[in-house]
Amino acid sequence: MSHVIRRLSRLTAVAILVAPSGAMADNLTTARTNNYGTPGKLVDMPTAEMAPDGQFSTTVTHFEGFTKSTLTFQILPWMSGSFRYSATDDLTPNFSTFYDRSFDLRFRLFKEGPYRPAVALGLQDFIGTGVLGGEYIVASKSVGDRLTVTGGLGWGRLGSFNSLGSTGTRDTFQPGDTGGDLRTESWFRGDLAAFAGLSYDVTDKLTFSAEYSSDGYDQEEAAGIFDHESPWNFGLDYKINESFALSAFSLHGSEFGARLTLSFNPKDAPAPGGLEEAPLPVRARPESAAADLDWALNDTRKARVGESVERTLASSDLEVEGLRLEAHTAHVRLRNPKYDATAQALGRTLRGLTRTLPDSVETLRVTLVSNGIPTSTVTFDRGDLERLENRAAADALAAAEFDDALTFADLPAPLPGKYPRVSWSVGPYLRTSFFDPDNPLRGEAGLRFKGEYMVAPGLLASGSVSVKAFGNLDDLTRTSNSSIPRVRSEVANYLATEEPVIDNLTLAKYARLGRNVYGRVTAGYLETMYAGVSGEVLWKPVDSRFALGVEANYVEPRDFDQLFGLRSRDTPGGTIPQFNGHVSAYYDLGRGFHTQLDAGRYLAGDWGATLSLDREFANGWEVGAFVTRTDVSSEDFGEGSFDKGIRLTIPLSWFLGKPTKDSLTTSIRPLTRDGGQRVFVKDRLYDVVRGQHQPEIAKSWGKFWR
Amino acid sequence: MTLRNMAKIALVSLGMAVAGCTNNPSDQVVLTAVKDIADGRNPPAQPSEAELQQQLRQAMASTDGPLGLVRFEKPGTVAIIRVVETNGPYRTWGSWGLSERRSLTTRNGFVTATRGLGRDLMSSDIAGSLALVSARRAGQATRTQRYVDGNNQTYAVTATCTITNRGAAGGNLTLMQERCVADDQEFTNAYKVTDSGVITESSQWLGDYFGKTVLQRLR
Repeated sequence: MSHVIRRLSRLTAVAILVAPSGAMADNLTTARTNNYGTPGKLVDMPTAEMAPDGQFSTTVTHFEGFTKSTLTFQILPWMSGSFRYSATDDLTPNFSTFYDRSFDLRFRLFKEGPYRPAVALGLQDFIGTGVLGGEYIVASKSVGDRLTVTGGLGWGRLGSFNSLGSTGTRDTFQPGDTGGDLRTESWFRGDLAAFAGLSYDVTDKLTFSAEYSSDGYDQEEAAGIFDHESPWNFGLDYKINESFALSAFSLHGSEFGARLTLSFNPKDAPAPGGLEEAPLPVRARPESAAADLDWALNDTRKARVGESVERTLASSDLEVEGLRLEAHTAHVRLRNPKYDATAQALGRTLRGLTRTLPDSVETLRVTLVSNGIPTSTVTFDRGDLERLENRAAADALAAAEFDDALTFADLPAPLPGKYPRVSWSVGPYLRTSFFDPDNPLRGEAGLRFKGEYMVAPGLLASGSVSVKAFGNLDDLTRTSNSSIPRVRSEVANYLATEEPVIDNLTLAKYARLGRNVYGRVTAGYLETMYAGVSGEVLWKPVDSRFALGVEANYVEPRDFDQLFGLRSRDTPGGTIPQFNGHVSAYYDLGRGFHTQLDAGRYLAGDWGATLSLDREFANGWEVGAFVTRTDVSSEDFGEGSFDKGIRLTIPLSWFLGKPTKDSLTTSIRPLTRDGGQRVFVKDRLYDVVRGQHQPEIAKSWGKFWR
Repeated sequence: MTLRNMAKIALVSLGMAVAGCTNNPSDQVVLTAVKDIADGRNPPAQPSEAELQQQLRQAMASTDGPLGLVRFEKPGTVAIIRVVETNGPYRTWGSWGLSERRSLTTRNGFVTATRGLGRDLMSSDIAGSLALVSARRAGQATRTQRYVDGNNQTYAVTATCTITNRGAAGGNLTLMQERCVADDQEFTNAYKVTDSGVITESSQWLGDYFGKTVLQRLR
């Protein structure tokens, strides 16, 4: 029997490969990348191919004297963005190795049709110094299920060989330029040239490609580091497995090189659904007999029920902070220190309640607590839980009711013994800095002690001390030449110390200021460079995707040794002002996108705004970009012209297949200067509150019954 | 190197940042995982057939309640199971004699859900197939099986199934077969059903991860 099925499914597979529509969809979506790290199966030239939605790839390309490392993210099915760090030996007389950071964007304008090719438009190195700068329009078409042909027109670098003509004039790359601005006036300007190529999948793993390149490598030839002997490039690409591909190529008749691509998709977790232990099942009450109500009048029995609730939830690492038991209603004040999917914490809590509460209790309420303050309350009818346990999770979401916790005047108070609460950890830490102008990868490792002391609900003392063990993070040769207050550019002095440092040491008070309104005050050593007081108010309704916040900070710069001392606010670039702050608007755009706009005064006293846009996956992965423009001029800002960067959050639960709230966040800025900088404050309100509100909880509702 | 192995290596390196010593449950999860990987710990060995028989005798002697035996083809695991909870027509089974929290939910012998087994079957709509199979009648029915993907989203595999009566299977048992076709999947389930419509033994497809799942009702 089974071999028949196997044969049938093989036939289906063959049928899919042969069918033209299936072939198209597969052929123009690829996890392979070219030398510039953008999706496509050619060598140096772009194609109209795209990676699967959400795909990440890291590509390292090397040939003698040239290395490019590119991180590409498929932002939408029709749009990809890349960040590249390239190192070129002896390109300019100023540097032995010229390091350059560049950003690309690619847009697919048309999908492939039965007879029509896919068409894409690309901007290469559109906000760097422009050394790799180029724009293109490219069309790709699959022919059969193995061959893809591509042809396009390029400008800039991609219009530099055998030009067909020219469209206006183009600013050329100037070594020493501050760069960083959009060079819109140069896009699609200057000489244009045609390129073409084809790729052929010899087997499922091996791809051959050949191309006619329109890149003349003019600057490199002029610098005497490259010989352009022919416009033809050839490549062989071998897919080692789903994640790795290795390629070899010949370039312009004079160079041989290699390329390694690592790609993965955050939507494909190693262990979908998780490997954690099973939850406790719902205990369904017998249908007959009127339930006993006497227990609610008997304090001893009530206390025993309370203990049993606490113990049962503790077996799932859920902490009952408070409990109100009445004849027909139970209300739990819950702290969830473990489950990154809040829906899962709720599901386990509610099932635990069905197992421990007397049958007369009909209404179950769970108030979620974050940093000691109640945020939202989720209410379930106990009968619904019994009825829906074996149905689609969406049915349970429809039966859940979300309210602001302050809707309930009789919120359960914290149980005796819950406060004060201590939590601590000791462990190694790793700090990295990517793509510094002088060194692509720097880092340091050491030991870090972290402690939290929740004195009373919402009153939190916390600190972190670290000791460096080894690393080259302090290996900074550049000295700041900033002409505005040096709020960040004295980083070298902060990194130089070999002694233990206080990363932060603060006392924070979190509070509910009213329905939908949250407040925070944090005082102490806020971050490695600043001490002070930070106050914040946030408005965020429980079922809203929109929030507004205001933050005001008073800061003093800390001593370079990062102990208890402060240093003078006077710097060679000017005096660091004491006050800064922002008004912030947050909006969940839906479809996995989130945006934030902060406007106000930055650390150096500059006024301006930061816009950020993140793609957020329900499983916790986040990829985003931010850009800050302030009234600091490009000249005063220095290299890069204004602050911008990309950031990445990696949930450890994705790797583990087990729930944990731990995650790693990193930002990659081409350069950190003094304009557009904010003070870092731990646990800003939006991050504390948002995960416990309906829109975020609903995103991972698939884990409610898990 | 598979994605899984890559994830492990990445985790050991990433985990360094949080592992160590802690009283925080989130950190502990990471720490334990990192230690497991560092130790190279493998899943416990499965009992031999003789050991299994021995355990079965012990289980039968130790309880009067329902007992079952389940084998998952692909992970190659076998477990003696007992009922831990009942909700209407659904029974949730846990392993007998093991403290591990893994479970299986059935409705008259049809597996409708799993928990803690990896790539769990979250819930199933099988009323149509169940009605035909337990009545030992041929016919067509639709079944839906739901899973959670790597991005915490529910996805459903909805299949059209043809149920046929394959004749007597010894004693008062009838062999029923359920052949199902979903969008990109085909699978076949088989059930041995008593004259009174009770399923005593079955082979079911719960997802590619499990392969064939054989469930035997012992009591």
